[in-house]
Amino acid sequence: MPSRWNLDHLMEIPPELPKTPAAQALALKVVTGMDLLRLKAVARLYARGLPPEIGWSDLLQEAFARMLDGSRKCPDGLGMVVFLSGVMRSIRTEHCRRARKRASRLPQMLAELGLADNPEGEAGDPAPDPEQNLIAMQLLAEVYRLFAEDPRALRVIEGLFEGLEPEQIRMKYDLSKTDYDSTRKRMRRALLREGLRWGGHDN
Amino acid sequence: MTIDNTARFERLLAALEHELTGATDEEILEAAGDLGMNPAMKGSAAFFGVTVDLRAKWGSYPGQPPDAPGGSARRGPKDDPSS
Repeated sequence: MPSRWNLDHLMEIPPELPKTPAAQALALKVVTGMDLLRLKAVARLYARGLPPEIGWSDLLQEAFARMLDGSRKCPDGLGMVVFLSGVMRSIRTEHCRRARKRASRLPQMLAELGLADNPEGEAGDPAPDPEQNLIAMQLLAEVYRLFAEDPRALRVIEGLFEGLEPEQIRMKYDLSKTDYDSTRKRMRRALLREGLRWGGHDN
Repeated sequence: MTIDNTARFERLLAALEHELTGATDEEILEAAGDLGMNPAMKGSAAFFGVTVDLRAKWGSYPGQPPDAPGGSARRGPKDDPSS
């Protein structure tokens, strides 16, 4: 329910708002309004687990900005939505890599400040990081919560997490093709609802 | 733990991305309808943060004053004001 404060605040919105890169792309007819909503949902998905200062709208607008300034070019034959989703994925990877690098430097920095004893061999360790693994499991739990009331969807998620192909998921969980397809349809609806909901730029 | 759950999670996200990029217009409109949004309407809340950058104007989203106690400029309400 909107509060009185919300309504007052919304009524103060001036007619001239800053134009986003996504709005520019829409004006240039590079994408449609429906494409923007698809990409909004993808941005919300990919913002999971990013450092708190990076929100879904940052991810989305950065992808559009890179496309508009020509630093990323859509290959011939590739749809714009798929292309921009790929750009968001790669921006996400950049942020994750940077965050991991910062974390791996921490022991060395602490040692330099005289706050830790044993910095040897810690920085840049490429071995699977238990903390990162734990974070991944927490993020997986968040995704599970989206489908908490749909046992078949949870099985499909589990299969995808294990890297199974659709046919293998069907075999493993004894799902008919119709069951599998209808489960995916429900999953898409839940993901879209989650992606389109009202909220700030980071959640 | 030797299994890299981070890589598995990224793989899961890529699979879910595929679902979203393949969603039909009808499915998007249905999901928006579930939330009480009508993307065909001018100024629909579905496009906040997409075509409208309210954060750049005020440093916050409607529903939260920039100096709200305990809040940051990046937090907004969870509820759709249109519902």
